[in-house]
Amino acid sequence: MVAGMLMAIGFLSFTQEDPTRAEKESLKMPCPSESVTTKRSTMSPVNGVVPTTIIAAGLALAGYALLMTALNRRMGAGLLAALGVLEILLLVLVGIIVARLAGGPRPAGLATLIGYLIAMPLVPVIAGFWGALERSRWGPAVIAVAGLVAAVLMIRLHEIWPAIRV
Amino acid sequence: MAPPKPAASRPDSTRTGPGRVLIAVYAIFALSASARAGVQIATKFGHAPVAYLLSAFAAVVYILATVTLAVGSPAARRIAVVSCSVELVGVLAVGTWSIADPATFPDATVWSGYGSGYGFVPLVLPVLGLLWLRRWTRRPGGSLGPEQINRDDDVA
Repeated sequence: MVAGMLMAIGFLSFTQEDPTRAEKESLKMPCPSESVTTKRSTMSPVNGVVPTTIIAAGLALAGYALLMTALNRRMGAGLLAALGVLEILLLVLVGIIVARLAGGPRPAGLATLIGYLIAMPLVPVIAGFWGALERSRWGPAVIAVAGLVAAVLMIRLHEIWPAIRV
Repeated sequence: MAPPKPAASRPDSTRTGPGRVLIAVYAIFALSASARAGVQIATKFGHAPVAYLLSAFAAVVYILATVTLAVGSPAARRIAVVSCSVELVGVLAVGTWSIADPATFPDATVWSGYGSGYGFVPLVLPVLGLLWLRRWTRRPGGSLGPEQINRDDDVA
């Protein structure tokens, strides 16, 4: 519940952010037919909203999952759904970063960044399977680890490539 | 005669119950330490050879602990005890070394500053691992190895 609400807040801030950004870009762009994504990738660093949302979602998921552990609950559909939301957010971020890399600029630690791009979306998937195998309160605790790892990965991403804002 | 099966709620291997979480955390450290050490040794080994070799050693220890905890047989548990002990000694020794002689560590390892770069998880992890392995060997339903005889003190 709490996780869902926090994620909803995260999504709200995401949708609120977009119009203002679009307005700014429309002011800078005299020609509306020009691609917005290309313009953005040359103008600004990676949009910080998605990593920030992932941190919030990861921490909320961890809190929700640890609550389930404290209440002696097993893995349930709610936790798996929240994990799915985290997975979608991570895939969106991978897409954004890949688009940014395709646009030209490269970080110093490119190999590390590519490793992160591969490993990042696997975290919720592997945690989901590993946690679902557990038929006790410790299943949700595995999901909590995945949520915390997702949040920490955002900080690491920023360290690898400061263009990725948090 | 086969020993009675433990109740469903009771962990029947080091990979179930709290061990499930422990293995998850160990797996993350195994992956991140080996990937990091691999990149460092491949791209800039001369920059901090001691730090990078220690990172690689830590990676091996983490992989060993992850695998043996996940296997959970009596033999695997004994290897797990050894790797968790090596890990604890390693994090204490490298942590002290990195503070006493920072010049040797121009770049950090997993165990630098007692794992301060990783929220001190590398310091806590081997302790939890050893407690879990110790507690598990005492559970009824688990096969009690010879190490059980030498342990008269009850901590867990």
